[in-house]
Amino acid sequence: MAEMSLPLVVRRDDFRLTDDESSFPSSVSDYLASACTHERVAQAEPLGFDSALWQSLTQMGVVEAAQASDGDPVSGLLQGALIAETCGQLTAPVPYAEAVAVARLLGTTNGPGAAGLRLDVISGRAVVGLASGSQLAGWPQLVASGAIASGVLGLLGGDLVLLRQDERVPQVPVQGNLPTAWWGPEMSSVTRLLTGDNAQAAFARARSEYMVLTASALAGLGAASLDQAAAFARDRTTKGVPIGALQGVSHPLAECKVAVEGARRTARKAAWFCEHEPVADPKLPAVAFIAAARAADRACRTAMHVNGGMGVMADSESARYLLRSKSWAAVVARIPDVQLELANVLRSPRYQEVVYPSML
Amino acid sequence: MDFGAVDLDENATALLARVRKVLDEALGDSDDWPVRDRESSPSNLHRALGEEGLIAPRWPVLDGGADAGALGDRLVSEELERRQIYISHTPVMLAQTVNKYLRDEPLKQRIVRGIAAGQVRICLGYSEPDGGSDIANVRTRAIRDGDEWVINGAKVFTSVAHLSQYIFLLTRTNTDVPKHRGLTMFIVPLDLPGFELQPLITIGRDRLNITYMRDVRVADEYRLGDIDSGWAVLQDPLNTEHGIGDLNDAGLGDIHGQGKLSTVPASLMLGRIIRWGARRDPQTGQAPLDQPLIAAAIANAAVDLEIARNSSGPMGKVAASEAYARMAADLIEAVGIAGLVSQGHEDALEGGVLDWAHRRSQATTIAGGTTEVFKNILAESGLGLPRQLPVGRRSE
Repeated sequence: MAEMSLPLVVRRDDFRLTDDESSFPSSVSDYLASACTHERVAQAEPLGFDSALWQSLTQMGVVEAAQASDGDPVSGLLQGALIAETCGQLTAPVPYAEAVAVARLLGTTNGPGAAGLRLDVISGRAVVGLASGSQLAGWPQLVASGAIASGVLGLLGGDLVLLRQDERVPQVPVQGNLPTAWWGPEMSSVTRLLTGDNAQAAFARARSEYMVLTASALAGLGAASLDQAAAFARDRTTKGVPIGALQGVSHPLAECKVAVEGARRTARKAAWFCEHEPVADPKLPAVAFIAAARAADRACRTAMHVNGGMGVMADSESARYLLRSKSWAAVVARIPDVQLELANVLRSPRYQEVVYPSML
Repeated sequence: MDFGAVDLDENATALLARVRKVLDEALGDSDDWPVRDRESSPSNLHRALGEEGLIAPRWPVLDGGADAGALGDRLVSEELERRQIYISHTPVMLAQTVNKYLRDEPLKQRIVRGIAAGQVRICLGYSEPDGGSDIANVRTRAIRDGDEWVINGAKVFTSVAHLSQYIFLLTRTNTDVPKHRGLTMFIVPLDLPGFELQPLITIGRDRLNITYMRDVRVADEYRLGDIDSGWAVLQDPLNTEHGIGDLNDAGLGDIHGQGKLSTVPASLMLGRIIRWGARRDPQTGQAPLDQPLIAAAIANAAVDLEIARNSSGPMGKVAASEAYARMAADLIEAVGIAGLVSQGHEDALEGGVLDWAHRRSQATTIAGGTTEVFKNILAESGLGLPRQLPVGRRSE
């Protein structure tokens, strides 16, 4: 067999977090659990942005922690993924995934003003969005943080550009209360930050990272929705038994748990590879994004169904999750675009010759 | 977290060379993966691996292993996996139980050494014709007669029984107590008079068996644990089978337990179909992957497989077995009837991998505990839901 002569790579499959890795995300989680209450999330609607909460989080260093750092082995995209999970779990009305991806992207360019803008994004002084639609999507785009942003990064004619507007761009209301707004080159000032292949590679990497962080947020959202439904299913009785003791209820929830936890772990793994070996397994960001989008959708719908009539009430907890489950994914990319990108990655010989099954 | 490549030192490289040599000699260099499956995994291969200490690589050399740690286990597994050979972990797993519960020292040594040497294979005698997933609902009777036990009954779907030397047998020894309390475990030599194996052939072309026992007389030394305490003896093997416990081994272990039975063949299937999809038609210059809907189907399969690979324990079993069967079905949709040309025919697409996988994947949601058993475990331990409602207990 020809494949026998190929070099051997054995990789660890170690998903356990070290204390150093879990320490800061845990403290963010503790903070959000007390600060980001259901009421506070509701008060941030319909804009979908809590400026004071974002100031507190950025001052804690949530964006900084997800930046690559030579001096600190822990900081990087995995920290971002873990913090994004927490933001998703508590439906925090802050542009976390976008800010991390944007700050990391700004760190790859010496373009005019990029370094200062990066520091402003990290410290929360500025919000900059990412126009993440694929090249198929064209302009203008609905940008997730478009209505609160002073600038947007995107790919224009193959160049990485910073779009700027002096006035706030009006929000376009979407399901789930994201601060979305239309951005396009014709209504902005345009600064070129990178050109040519460098621009496309840097943008593609940022878009992948945005997908990974969004996958983590969606996994957190889906898990929270399942936890709520499970708590309801423990207490709610029918014909004298808790509905959670019925397999017609418990098995769909268990299946969603499998999907959500699989997506969570895959997003963490994708984050690890983005940070440490970005070319080793390039299918992972797309896989994590598609899987998490579907897992969150399924979990939130199943959880709502388990809640019965209570679930479809406008102010129910399950509604809070379900109404975010689709828009959080859709604002980042269209799934068919990501599927085609993934299929193109899979064409590479590495995925055809299954040297070691564990690498596919 | 760590997904980094492991440095292979001299010992690891030497071990790898040994594994490859044994496998090449036992199997030749033919690429005949479709006919290799766990039931037909040949006895000569087991013995050849055993002679090199590779059946139980992490056991001490004195016990017949290779003292090669978790990395040794992993290297042997990967070499077997890429050749699509499944060596049952059951005997090595049961060695712990044998060591703990068998009282007769020479017998214990014979079995455990035989396991390491690849000369002892053990099949699991749990399921019964009337059984289903409630394995404590056992009718196979063991009745004491002096220093012996007389066993009557039948076990079904016993894989590897026709290649095994022993059966790990769950019997009923007491009918006057609640069902979990009247069970006793034995490890019974299959060459005793009274055993009869009847083959059952699956749609995946595996051989399973019905194992009949008619007045099988076995000495009391073959009993594992106390009389009527079989349920306790069974717990460690069952937990291992269900993927409960620490599987990590610093990132070198099989994190998704039983899931590998699905993800390994599913990896082969997907790789072959990607290869098919990327190949351009010499006339038109077009490849199937140029068609967006085929590209999407293949992308979906890759998502399914990666998620399954990253799922651990009971989740690994559910994610992987369901993904495997779904991937086979979905990829057949994308490829069309050419994908179902029978294995072995010269026109078979990519060696008939879809015919093979579609057949073989069906059993993976059933064997080793149905996915429903695992979903019960997840509902209780993962979501904190109450135990499933026992049949017949209703408030009405």
